[in-house]
Order: sequence, then structure tokens, then C-alpha cells
Amino acid sequence: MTGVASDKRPLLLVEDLVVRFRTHDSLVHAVNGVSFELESGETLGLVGESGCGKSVTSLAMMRLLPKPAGRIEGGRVLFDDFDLVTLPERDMRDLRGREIAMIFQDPMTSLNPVLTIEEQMVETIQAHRKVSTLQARQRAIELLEMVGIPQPETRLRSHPHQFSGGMRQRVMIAIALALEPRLMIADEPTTALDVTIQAQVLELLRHLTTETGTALILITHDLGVVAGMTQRINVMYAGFIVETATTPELFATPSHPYTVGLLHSIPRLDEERPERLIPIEGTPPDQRRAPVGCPFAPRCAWRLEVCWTDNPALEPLEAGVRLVTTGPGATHRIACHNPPTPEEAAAGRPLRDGFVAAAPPGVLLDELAAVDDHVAALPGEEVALFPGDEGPTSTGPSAAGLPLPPEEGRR
Amino acid sequence: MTAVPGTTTTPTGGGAAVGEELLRLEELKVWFPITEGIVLERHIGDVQAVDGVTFALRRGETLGLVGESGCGKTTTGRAIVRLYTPTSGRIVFDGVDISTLEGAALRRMRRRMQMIFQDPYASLNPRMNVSAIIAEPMDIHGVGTKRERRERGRELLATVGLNPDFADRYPHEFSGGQRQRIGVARALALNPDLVVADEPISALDVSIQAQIINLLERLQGEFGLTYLFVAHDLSVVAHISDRIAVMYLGRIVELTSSRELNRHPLHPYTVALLSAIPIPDPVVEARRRRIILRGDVPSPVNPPSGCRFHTRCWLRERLGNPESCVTIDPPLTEVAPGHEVACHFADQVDGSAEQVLATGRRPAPSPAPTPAAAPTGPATPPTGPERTLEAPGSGPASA
Amino acid sequence: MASITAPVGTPVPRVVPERASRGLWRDAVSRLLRNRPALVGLAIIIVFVVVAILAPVIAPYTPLGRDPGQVFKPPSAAHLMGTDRQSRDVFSRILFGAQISLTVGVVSVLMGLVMGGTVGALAGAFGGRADTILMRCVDVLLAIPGILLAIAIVVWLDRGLLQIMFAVAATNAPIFARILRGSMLALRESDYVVAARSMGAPTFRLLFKHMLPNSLTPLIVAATLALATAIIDVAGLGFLGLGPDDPRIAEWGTMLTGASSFYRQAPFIILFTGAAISVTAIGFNLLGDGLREALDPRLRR
Repeated sequence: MTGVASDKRPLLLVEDLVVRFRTHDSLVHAVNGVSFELESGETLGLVGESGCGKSVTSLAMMRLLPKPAGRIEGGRVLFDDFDLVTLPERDMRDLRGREIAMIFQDPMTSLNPVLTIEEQMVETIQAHRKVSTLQARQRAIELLEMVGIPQPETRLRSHPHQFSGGMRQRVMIAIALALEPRLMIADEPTTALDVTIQAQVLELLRHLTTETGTALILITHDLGVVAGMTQRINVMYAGFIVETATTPELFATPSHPYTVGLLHSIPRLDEERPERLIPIEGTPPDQRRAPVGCPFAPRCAWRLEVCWTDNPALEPLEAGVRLVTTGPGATHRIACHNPPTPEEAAAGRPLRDGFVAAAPPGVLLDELAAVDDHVAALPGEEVALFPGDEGPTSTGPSAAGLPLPPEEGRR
Repeated sequence: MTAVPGTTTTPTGGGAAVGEELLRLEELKVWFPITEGIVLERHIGDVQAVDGVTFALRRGETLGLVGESGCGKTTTGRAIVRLYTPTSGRIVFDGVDISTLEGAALRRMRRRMQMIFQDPYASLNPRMNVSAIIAEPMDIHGVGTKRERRERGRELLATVGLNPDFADRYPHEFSGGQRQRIGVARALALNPDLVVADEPISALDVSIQAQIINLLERLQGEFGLTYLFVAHDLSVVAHISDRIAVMYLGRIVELTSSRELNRHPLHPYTVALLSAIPIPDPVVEARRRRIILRGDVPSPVNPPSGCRFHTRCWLRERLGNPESCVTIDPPLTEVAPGHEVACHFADQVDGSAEQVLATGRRPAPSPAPTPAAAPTGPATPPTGPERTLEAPGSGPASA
Repeated sequence: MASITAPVGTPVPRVVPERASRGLWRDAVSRLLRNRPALVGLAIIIVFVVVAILAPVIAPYTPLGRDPGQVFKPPSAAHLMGTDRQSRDVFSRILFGAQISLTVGVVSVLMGLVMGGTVGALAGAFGGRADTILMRCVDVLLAIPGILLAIAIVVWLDRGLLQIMFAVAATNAPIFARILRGSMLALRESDYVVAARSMGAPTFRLLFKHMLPNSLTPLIVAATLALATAIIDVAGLGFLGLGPDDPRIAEWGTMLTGASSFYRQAPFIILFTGAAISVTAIGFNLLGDGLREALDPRLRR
């Protein structure tokens, strides 16, 4: 579904990406057909909760999935005419760091604790550029200055554990930007940091990517972070993109029930009166089963019969509109059979009747689902209790006892 | 709710009536000694985790204790339930000084305050089934027969929204949110008066957090509980709490109602904290100004002299480094009804551009008494890349 | 307007649980059964145990029974593994030897568990001075090579089955002490233990209901592996001439001693006896490794 974005060819084009994790006793459908594009210099947010596939998508793009369990089983990732999915590993290694860089949630594990910062930065620089150690060191000092580390010459000789969390993350950003990549992927870069440090690091990230023109994919579960950092947002759920729009539009007119649900379940610091939160009932689906129908159906207050059987495709809100995939004019698209009206989106719940079809037979029930104040049901009908996949508990790769891909899974 | 043998059934329990003081902390200090040497342990210093905390908690209210890592909020919460013994100061629960209580007397008091823990995966014994976990408080205190305990376990499961038929299951069969509900059920087993919630939702997914928040609010209404809500997420704390105490490096720097804190924060740290919290609304975000604090939090082993915040304080820089910030430790004083602040220059904060722009609200006239301090920032917030308000002299990426 | 949500308080039909609760042990067992080397080990052990128990029934001869004139006869139909210097059937003696090895192995590991486990648990649970003192003692014991320690104890206490068991127990006790101490130290700070403390649980309840049950898994693995070493240690002691004095007891190590001087005439005795010892020890090793994987705390999630 490659629309005409603009005159520019997109920097990154992901098309129908499918990623699964296989173990001897289970198959986890982590990413189920994800497509999006990214322009040069653009900042895109990938938003969702644990298990939605946002981290896995980026790992797949970088070909960093844990082997042998993680496998890309479909789709293309076009970066500059190269399909990263089929690129030989040697070429991929060359791309990593030089053209595409990634920073992770916990810099303690991404940095080698026994090497000094200098050694790690010089190593990275020299891996991709033929420069002398002295020149690499100079560049390292420049970079540390750029990210605001005081006294960079002395701090070069420190080890990672001698830095605080925020400073380590800055070092990570410095390393990531060392070779001026065209794309940076930041996977929950500030989740582990205190909020005042988070502000520093995000500010730095924004400033630097604007200055250097680096495109940024920001992966996070925090809608507040993307509101201030990104130009466009993809909302993910259970391995699918369920809504994509420019940032102002996503917050002004959220149109997918999940997005609406998320926005109404977060307490806002600037709320006039404490409004009662409207949580999304139920739990995320068990991704060990192949998705049937819309993955959000079990928890959706707007669901219809068809939602159980037919997984809606990502379509523009208004029909007949020319599809723009990137940039400030990007088309607002959702994957939903029965989107909420603007009034319902503002209210956070349906205002019309006739929704919430009961699960058809054959859909197994989530035995352990919690029930709070209300139960969604058609009047007079027996209630199917949060129909979902069989069995309680966890989702995603963690369910299979696999080593989790970094930063996915439980926060 | 069925009667728990050995406890009262009225939601207010024994003791103070609704609105009266249930818990009072007086200059509570919890210091952890640092020792050196293997055989002869020399005392070389202390981690001053909690260093003089004073507040009162009224029955039926929710007090939020908020701050960043190392501020001492978790230690305070744990000290209240006597997981630590206070180094000095008093903890008075329903008129009884429990700071140094031991043995049977302490155990009796423990029945009336319970704790909810942060990590739903670690706070439940993996080898006990859910029914046993929930009824354990009863078991420990010898309340009820085995059958009564089982019944209560099922009842509590239903109360927290889980299916009672799963009382025989083990924790690993439940999801994170469900496990947290089990933890809540356990805390309710003995009809406590006070529940200390230590980061109860930080480890959960966003959509599940709201479920637990609503659950806690509903239970408070149903059972007349009093909450001490310890968390680092000010958005959540502001939502659920009646009053909020902001902590920094072992002290309370500001204590006031949730609403007041949001509209008129008076401590420079609070203002910085508020400004740093992202709000899920790009329009509001564009109006806001981040205050970037310089440096990292000082170590609690060696706190700064005078005001603990002075090493990072933007107001101090603005005012030209006044002497008092470095030499005199500002006490927590009431500067407006129900509003306590520990700052020499709190009056300068109110009405300042920083305060106004921290939350992105349209400026409103402040009821708190302030001198005529003109806002020092620009009158209209300019949009564009320059969105941070720095302590002068620091670049956009101050460490 | 018909409400699309049932009002609060509407009884919700409950779902009857479809499958029984899967305890952690069940999960572990199923993982173990998938591990082929572990199953091989388990098979070996089962054979070993069966043989040991049924030795009087299946052995063609008694351990002392002589078949006159048949000295150092190679394996034949009448004597599956040949005969030894005293014309005794090697095969029968190996079967009876299994009894000794099993008994001594199991008992000495149990003794070691109790002795070492208690010390380690106390050290870990209480920490501080007690921990330091106890663990330094354990360190001293660990500094002495196991077999030397065993020898010293047997020499000191005289030969005999009970003494051997105690000696071997003393060599594996420190390991259990270390393990249990580590577990206890870690568990002391885990949330559910802290939660129980905050509820007012007395120390013994913390220990026995919360901490010990969750320390079992590394202990089980260590015990299984210790059985393997115990069997070898017992044989070693026997080989060195420190085995039980009673000639009626056919002990593998002692058999080896007897055979070693005559390896030219009867190499098969050394072979069969050595094989018995090795295979049994390997069996326990394989099972122990398999258990370690199966009981991995990952299964908690």
C-alpha cells in the first residue's frame, strides 16, 4: 500500500512485515503485517503497550531479533532501495551504526561495563570510518560535548557504571549519532529515567535530530512523550497498526477505539477536575494464537458481529481521499469497522446503541478476566465474559518462556 | 461484607471517626548506617534516606507521596508499616506511638495497616495458591477457621473483580494486572484502616493501570480506607490523591491539596517537576516550558548544606545566589491555608513565568498572597524550537 | 434508550474452570520429560535403584558364594561377568554393590543436606555476624579437598558404613550450606517475604513457609549432582582400603582394590566395576542437569 507520499522517495518503507517467534511448543505472532513509511528527517512515534510489537518491529528492521526463535516471516523493509530483510549480514552490519542507529531502554546493558567510554566510542567510529585513533577520540570528545556531558576529556576515561542513568543515555545517544546516521531508532529511551532526567534527554534528542536532520522512530508507551516529540504517530495493538495520523490529528480526533480508550485511561496533569478514568477492560490477547478478526474485539465497546471474524485493514477515515503516507499532510487512517464518532471519542464511550456483539461460538473465553464496574452486553442477552483467547495470562514472547526481546514485555 | 472474625465490620473500624487524624509523622528520620570492615565494622556514614518528615493523614483521605528516585518516599512508606525502625522521630497511628513498638503490641497494630507492593510478579509467593495468599494475614493473626479463611479469600477475589472459582490457582497463571488485584485483596483481608500503596501501578501496562486506579478508588469508598499513595508519576498521584507531599532528598518540600499543587506550585522543585511531565496533548505541550534542572540528584549520604535543593535550583540562580539558600535549611512552613512549602523564596515562585508555563494553563489570578513579582518570562509563549527555560548559562543539553 | 451496558450489580455468569490448576511442579515435570539426556539419566538411575533393591532376588549367586576352583574366570554363561580371586561371581557382587552405593549415597547426601542446609539457612536468614562466622567455618571446610577430608574422617572414626556416610556427608555439606545461604539472602529481600513481614509474620513462618519452599530448586539440583559425587567418593574410599571392613559387604570400590593388583589376569573385573561406578554417576549427572533446566525460575512467568 505505497501511496504517493510527496515528491521525495521515503527514507524507509516497511511493507507487510510479519515477525513470529517459534519455540518447540509455541508460536508467538508478534508482528502481523505492519506497513508504514518514513520521510527523511521525520520523527515518527510507535506507540503501544507491552506485547503490541513495537519493539519487535524495530528489532526486525535492524535484523537484531533474538535467534533462533525470532524470525521475519514476511514483508519488506526498504531503506534506500535495499531490502533489509534479505540483505546479507555483512552489509547489514555495515548499515548498522553508519546509516541506522538504535538506542535502547537500559544503557547499562547496551554499554560494555568493562570498557571505558572512550574505548567504546572509538571502536564504533573506527568500525565504520578509516580514521586514526586520535581523530576518533577527537570526534568522541565533540560528541560528548554535543550531548552535554561536562568535562568530556576526563569523562572519556570513565566506565559506564560511573555515570548516572541520564548521562549513560546521553552517551548512548552520542554513540548513536557518531557516524551521522540518517535514521535513529529509540526504543523506550527514557522509560527507566526519572521524569526530570527524561525531560533533559528527550529535549536533547529532539534538538539533535532536528539539527542533524536525522529521521527518528520513537518507540514508547507514553502518549505524553510522543505528543511533544513526534510529527506522526502509529498506534499499535497485538502486532497490528490500528491507527496512524499526524500527531496533532491523533490527539484532536482519535478515531480508533483503542486510541480513544488509551487517551481516556490516562490521568492528565492538567485536567480541570479529576475525571473518572475509563479503563479498557480485559487484557491484551494471547499472541500464541493466530489472530482471527480484529484483535481488539474482545475489549472493544464498539464492536459489531463482523469484528469477530474480519480483521479490518488500515483505511483512511474518509473514503476517496488521496493517500499521503508521510509528512504533515499524512492521511489519518484507522483499522476499524465501526469507528467512534467525534462525540463518542470525546466522551470515551459509545453514545449510540446496538454494539458489543456477543462472541460467536468457538471463541474461547478468558477464564480469569477481571470484571469491574460494568459489563458490556446486549440488553437481555447472556453475557460472554470478555471473550478472548483461551487461558489466562501473559502475552507475547514472554509467554513461551523465551528470552524477551529487549524492552518488550513487562515494563 | 461478611464479618471477619475478630475484627469490626463497620468500615471505619475502631478508633478515630472519618476526618479525624489517623496517622501522624513527626520529624521522622530513617538513616541507614554505612559500615566498613569485615570483623570490626566501623560506622563511616549514613544514608539519610528519610530526614525529618512531618505530616498528618486524616481518615478517609488519600495522601500522595511523590518524588523521584532517592527521595525517600518508599522508605517513608515502609517505615510507617514498621518494615524499618525509625532512627528518630515519631509515628503515631490512631493515637498510639508505634515508632518503637515491638512484639505482640506491634503485631496488633499491624493488623490495621497493610501494604500493596509495586511488583506484581514478585509480591506473591509463587508456591502458594491465591486463596492462601489472600488469607495469609488472617492466618498470621489467627483470625478465623480454615474454612472461614477460604471463604473470605473467595469473597475478596470477587471484591477485586476476579473470578472466585480460581482461588486454587497459582500466581504464575495470572497476568500482571490480575496479580496486582490479588495483592490488593490481600491488603484488605483484615479490614485495615490504612493502606500504604507503594508504586502499585508502575509495573503495569497503561490500560491496566486505569483499571487498578479505579479499583482502588472504588474500594476506598466501599470500605472507608485511608490511602498513602507512594509513586513517582505525578499525573497519577494528582488524579487519585486529595493531598500531595512532594519529597526531595529525604524531606518534604511541598505539601498541599492536589488541586492547589497543580495550579500554584510554590516550590521550585515542584515547578520543575511539573514542567517535566509530558502531557498527552500536543497543543498543550506547545504552550509549556520545560525547566531543565542541572546535574543529578545529590547523594543522600552527603546532602547539600542549607536547602537541599540549592545545587540545582533555578530560582536561586535567578535571584543571584542568595546566602540563605546555602546556609539555612528552610523549614516546611504554611504559607497559605493548607499549603506548606520549604523554601525561603516561595513567594517569588507564585505568578512567575515558570510556574505558569510549567503546566501550560492559561494564567489565572492566584488566591495565594504574593508580592508584586512581575513574570520574568515573555508575555506570550513563543512557539518554535526554543521551548526550554533554562537556568541561565546552561545550554539546551545541560547534564 | 436501551442501555448497552448492564447496570452495576448485574450477576455475571461465571465460567467454570476448564482445566485444573497447573502447579509449578507439573510444569517442571513436563519440561523434564522433554529433555532427552535427562531421560537417559533417569533411566539409568531407575535401573540402578531397581537393581539395588532386587539384588537378592536377581543375583545368581550370593556375594560371598564361591564357585570352587573358578578363579579369575572370564565372562561366561555361568558367570556373566566372570569370577574374582576368591571364585566369587563378579556380576552378583556388582548387583549387591549397588545396594551399598545407593544406601550410602542417599544417606550421606541427606545427612549433608541436613547439616549443611541448616548452617546455610541460618547464615542466610539472619545475616550479619552469624553469617560471617558460619560461612567462614564453611570456607575452611571447603578449602580441604573432599577426598582428603573424607579420608581423614574415616581414619579418625574407624572404618564402617556409618562412618563412611558421615565422611561423605561432611564433604558435600559445605556446598549445600553455600547454596542455601545464597537463596536465603536473596529471598530475604524479595517482595513476598517483605510483604509477609509487613503483615507481622514471625520469623519461623517466614523461613518455613516462604523462604525454604522457594529455595528448593537449586537444592534439588545440587543434591542430585552430589549423589553422583557421593557414589564416586564412596568407591574412592573403598579403593583406598578405607571401605567397610566386613568382607561380606560387596562394595564397588573395594572390589576395585582387589582387582587392581591382578589386572593382567582379570582385566574384566576392573572394567565391569569401573563401568558400574561411572555409569551410575553419569546417570545422576544427566538427571541433575536436566533438573536444573526444568526447574529454572523462568517458569515463573
